[in-house]
Amino acid sequence: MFRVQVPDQDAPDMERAHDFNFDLAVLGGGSGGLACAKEAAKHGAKVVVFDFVQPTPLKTTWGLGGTCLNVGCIPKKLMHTASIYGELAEDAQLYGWNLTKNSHDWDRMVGNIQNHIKAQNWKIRVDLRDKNVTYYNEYATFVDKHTVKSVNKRGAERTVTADKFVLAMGGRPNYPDVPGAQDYAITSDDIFSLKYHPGKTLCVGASYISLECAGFLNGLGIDTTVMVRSILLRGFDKDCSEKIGGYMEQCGVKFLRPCVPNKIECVKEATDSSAPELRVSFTQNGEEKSDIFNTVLFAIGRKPLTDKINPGAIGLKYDPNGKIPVTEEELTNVDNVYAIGDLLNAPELTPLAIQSGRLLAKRLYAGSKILTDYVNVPTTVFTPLEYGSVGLSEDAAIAKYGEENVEVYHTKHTPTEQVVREASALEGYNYAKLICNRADNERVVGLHYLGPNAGEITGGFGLGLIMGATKSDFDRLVGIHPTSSEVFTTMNITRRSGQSIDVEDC
Amino acid sequence: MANVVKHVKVSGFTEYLRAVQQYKDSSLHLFTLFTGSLDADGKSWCPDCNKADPVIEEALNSAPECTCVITAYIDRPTWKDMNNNFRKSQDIQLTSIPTLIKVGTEKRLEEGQCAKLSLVQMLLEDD
Ligand SMILES: Cc1cc2nc3c(=O)[nH]c(=O)nc-3n(C[C@H](O)[C@H](O)[C@H](O)COP(=O)(O)OP(=O)(O)OC[C@H]3O[C@@H](n4cnc5c(N)ncnc54)[C@H](O)[C@@H]3O)c2cc1C
Repeated sequence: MFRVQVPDQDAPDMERAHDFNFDLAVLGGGSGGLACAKEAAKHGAKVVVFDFVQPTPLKTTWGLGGTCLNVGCIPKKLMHTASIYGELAEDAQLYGWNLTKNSHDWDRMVGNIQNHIKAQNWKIRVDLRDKNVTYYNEYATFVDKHTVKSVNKRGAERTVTADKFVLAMGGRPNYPDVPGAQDYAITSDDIFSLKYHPGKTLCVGASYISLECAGFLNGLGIDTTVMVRSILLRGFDKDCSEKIGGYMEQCGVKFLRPCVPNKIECVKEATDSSAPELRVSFTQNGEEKSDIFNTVLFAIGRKPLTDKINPGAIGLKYDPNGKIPVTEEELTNVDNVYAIGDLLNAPELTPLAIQSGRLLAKRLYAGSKILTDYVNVPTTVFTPLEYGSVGLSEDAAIAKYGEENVEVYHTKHTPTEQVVREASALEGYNYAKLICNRADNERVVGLHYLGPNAGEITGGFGLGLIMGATKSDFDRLVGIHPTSSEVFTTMNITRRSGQSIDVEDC
Repeated sequence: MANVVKHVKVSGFTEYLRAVQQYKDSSLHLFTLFTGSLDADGKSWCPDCNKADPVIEEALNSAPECTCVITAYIDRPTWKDMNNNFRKSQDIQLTSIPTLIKVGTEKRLEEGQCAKLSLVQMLLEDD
């Protein structure tokens, strides 16, 4: 459909090729949806965003902004930081600071984090209003391919029509089919605003979310156990994933593995200020066991909210796991309906959701041709030993290029700031690895880093990978001394050589 | 003013605290406008405040009845003192004037935002 470009969004009568209420309706006001809506409005489109959070079984709910701001990246990184501060406080004493070690105040941390989030919720609303994007705090479902019906928390309904739709509903955590799970357990949707100290905690799952939560809880001095059915961090580099688990174990996190939960029973109910007492029955290595925990957190995967928007009304095609197949232009099988962010078969990451939303809006309303590049997206797992990676894992590289073509350069490293630490079992986990394709001039196809500031380091090197850097380019680069990132400029031990990678003195 | 919103005007930090104490537990939705003090002609020393004032007045005309606004006037020497109580207070953490806040929440509008009617209305009408 041809539509006229309108340069000025304040122009009273925008010339439109349709009679719908809006040019664009966005379902979901999270990372992707908001980015898309604001960009579209900037180019003159009349846009509406629907965002509504269905409360968790424990009635937790939150404001505008989606998963990342409210129950994802942001509170997660802040709690990770809280935990790292505990570690640094130990180091600080070795650097001469006289600190008395105080216990951690859960309520104060949660209060400050939630205040930040609430301020951001509000800023987003101001921003939308300022940019002339209509926002309805209502849950939207399709009536037909140009119409949605939406409902607010009081049950009031509204019908809205639009020329085009962008689906950006994101996903929510899965609960297992285990008695008591929905009644007594929590997920990442609850932990960041938990009114009481979690007490002894069981994190179920081997996802990055499970390990990150276990990592920061343990770092805050909480008795923490992780229950895992098989491998850690499926899809990430195996070698690095096992090192993360090993390091967490050295930090005091307990692992039950291989292990699955069977039942959760309440021994003592939660109150507003205290965690419940829960008996968890599980099968570990074929043996039936049980233990008491105060908090059980399931992080066993997430599911897109695709089936909740009445997709049948528009004949939307999607996979049984809720993911929506799209073209490289993020178009679904319905010709006026697009999908972005966590709904896609792509890494579930905020910057990717934002990128896909923005670029889509530019293509729809500003004549752009630029597509989102879903390859070589850098990512970081904020476990106590942080893990950054961009490109392929070792296994994926071997599968793609063949074992004989894959050259792995790797090394251990010691971050300078840690040299004051006394010898401990935590040493030797900082690690870096470059995976190269010998058949293509040793082009770097995977970069992996375990150690402090992984996100800061990996983000920058991502540029090298998307530009096609080879191992000799990394050698050409002069590192910054003394930093951890310089480890990538001096790598000379290949896995093939069998040489030891224990750290040498500088 | 068409509507019966309560509008309390105070000068300086101490009077501000007293006004908040007085109204915060009432059933009113309590807001505070931090703004520059007025001269004899009713003009503020702060140009952005002069722009915001009529807009806020207009928004108050159609504000819900349960609205209570405290206008806290701040004189120029006080504001230019980087250590003044408004800036230092953990609860307020004022960084610019005019600033309009909903007391007890994280909702606030700063500077130019206070001169946009639709934003001021959104703040006043929000539940
Ligand atoms: C614990 C955790 C930690 C994470 N950490 C990171 C990290 O460190 N870095 C990173 O990049 N990513 C991280 N992520 C992932 C990141 O949060 C997501 O990739 C991102 O939020 C996806 O954005 P989105 O726009 O697709 O959906 P979302 O942000 O999930 O937004 C979707 C919104 O739509 C609403 N909605 C759904 N259906 C409807 C409907 N029918 N009507 C109205 N509204 C609806 C939802 O309530 C939600 O507000 C983390 C996620 C979690 C859970």
